[in-house]
Amino acid sequence: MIRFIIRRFFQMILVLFIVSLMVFLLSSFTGDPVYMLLPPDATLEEIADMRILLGLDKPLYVQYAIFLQNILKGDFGNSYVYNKPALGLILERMPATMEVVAVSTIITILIALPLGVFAGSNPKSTGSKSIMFGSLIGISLPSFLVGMLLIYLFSVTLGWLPTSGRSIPAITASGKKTYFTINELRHVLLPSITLALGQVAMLIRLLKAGLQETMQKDFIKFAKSKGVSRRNIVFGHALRNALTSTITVFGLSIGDLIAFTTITETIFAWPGMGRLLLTSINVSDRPVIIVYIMVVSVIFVVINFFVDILYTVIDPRIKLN
Amino acid sequence: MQRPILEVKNLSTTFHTFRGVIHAVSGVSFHLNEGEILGIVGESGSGKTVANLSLLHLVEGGVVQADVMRYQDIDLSSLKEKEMEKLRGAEISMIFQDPMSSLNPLYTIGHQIEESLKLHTKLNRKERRARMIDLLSKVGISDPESRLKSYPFQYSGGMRQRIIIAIALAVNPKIIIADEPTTALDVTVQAQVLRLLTDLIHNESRSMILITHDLGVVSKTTDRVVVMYAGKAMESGITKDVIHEPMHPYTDGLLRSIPRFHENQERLYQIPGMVPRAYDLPKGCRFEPRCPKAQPICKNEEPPVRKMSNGREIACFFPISKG
Repeated sequence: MIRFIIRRFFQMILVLFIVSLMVFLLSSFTGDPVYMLLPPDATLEEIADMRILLGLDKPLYVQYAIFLQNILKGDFGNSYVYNKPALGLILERMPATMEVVAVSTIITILIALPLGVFAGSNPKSTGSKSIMFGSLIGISLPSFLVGMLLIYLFSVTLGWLPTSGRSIPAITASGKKTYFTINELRHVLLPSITLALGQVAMLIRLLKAGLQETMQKDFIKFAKSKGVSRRNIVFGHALRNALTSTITVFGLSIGDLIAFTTITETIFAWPGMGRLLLTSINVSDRPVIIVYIMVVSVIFVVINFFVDILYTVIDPRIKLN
Repeated sequence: MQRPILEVKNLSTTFHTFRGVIHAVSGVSFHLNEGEILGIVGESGSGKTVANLSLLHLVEGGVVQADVMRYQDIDLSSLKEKEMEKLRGAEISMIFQDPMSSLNPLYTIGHQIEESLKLHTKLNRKERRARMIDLLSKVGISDPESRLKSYPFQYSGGMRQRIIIAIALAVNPKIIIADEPTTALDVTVQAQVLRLLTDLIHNESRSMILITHDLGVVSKTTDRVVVMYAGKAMESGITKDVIHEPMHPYTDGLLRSIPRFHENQERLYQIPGMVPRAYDLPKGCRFEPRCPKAQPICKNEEPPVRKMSNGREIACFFPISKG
């Protein structure tokens, strides 16, 4: 177990290194932050000064070396725009993103688990066919459309839920305590549903496929011949087997949600990391973009780590080494 | 004469598929006496497995019909699912062909044996444990106490089939239906497992239906035999009679296809032709297209089941007679 963790840790370092290099290169080719930061009528001298100030006058490999050096010192660089540590900016906004992802994951599991189990254990029923058809729609609808439709229906027409924003300020540097209130729930509901829709559809399809396949297995037939009831066959024998294939994909898709809530956060003016990423890309705020991608990589590695551990809990044949 | 413990008359199982209606089993009758081993022999697709799954309502998506389907005093065809669940494993249990896939890979051996005990007995935890250890040692597994905690993947095929036998016997069922229990095993292990199974049946006066395609196994272990072909029973009777004096041309063909030690055979006999497709069966006798003795009548009419002496039954217009 400890060996496994250590190995994973070094893997993560390697991943972070490669990711930072790639993002560094890519972001240096796309847009010049200097023009974004200075007014349009800035003189050549001012531009050159700005370059030196940001360290952009040096060759690319030197810039990267400095960047790496700073990272080793624990300094991930300052945002060009906010002139604050990039990591801090991202971490400040992370709770808001985590909140909407957590709520949407809970919604996903609550809806998709029963529907997927039903569809997988009665694959020929009309109910199952309609669930699968519905999930196809869910997978196909883009989130910007879903978000706007939801706002139109629940906020504009029915007036039940707020159109946008978060009731708790994302930045709580002033030491304000954040409570999860009813009001907050009302705010988080629509963006969460928007995020959940695709997830629900995907999880239903994964569960259905896994369960349907498992139900054909010999050990299910044998369990039936032992007199195990249908209910226990599905929940006791088949579901656990079906979960092994489902968990990996679902785990990674949660990572996806955390990393790319960008569109949904923008639609709902949700003050999370995703929106920060979008604005940073618009103004070529390179340090923020790089650190953002690195943070996301860490999240992916951590999620994968937990998925692997969960695997060994579910399937005794899998050992961590 | 004693009343059979299990009796099936005119059993038919059909599947409605998009290719047409499949008659997997059509009008098969057999019975099982107490304490005996009945062999059901036939090629793949002859309906021998489906016929037995039909008894326990384990056929998915098929329609089962029968004039009589009786276990002791219970009419099996009228049982509801809940009543059937109580019967499965407790009165009639099954053993399947492939031990590598018959056990749930995610649960311990102990869990899977205990599941049957929990379902069908009122034993407490301690008694269940004692029973499990007893069962495992009965099927020849050494150090049973520590084995309860291990998982199926830690065992070989032969060991797993022993465990499956232990599970099938856990609640002392009257009848075991063993579907090709040794086919997936190594030849050396086959004999051991078969021996174990027959000993357990005989010593504890149970009854067994042994489904197999291996006539060698039939002649060694069974008391009576039913020969099935394309969903119908061709011939049945006391195993010795059937093996030594086959009356149906199909049984004869099967027996002649077995390689023999003492004879110098240039080429092994082979029944000509192929098994008919289940959705496209011949109108008359189902074996007619391949039968060396076929006459015009065989093509147009299904031969009725004729009762012969010594409990022998045969579905053929022109049975082979001795001499």
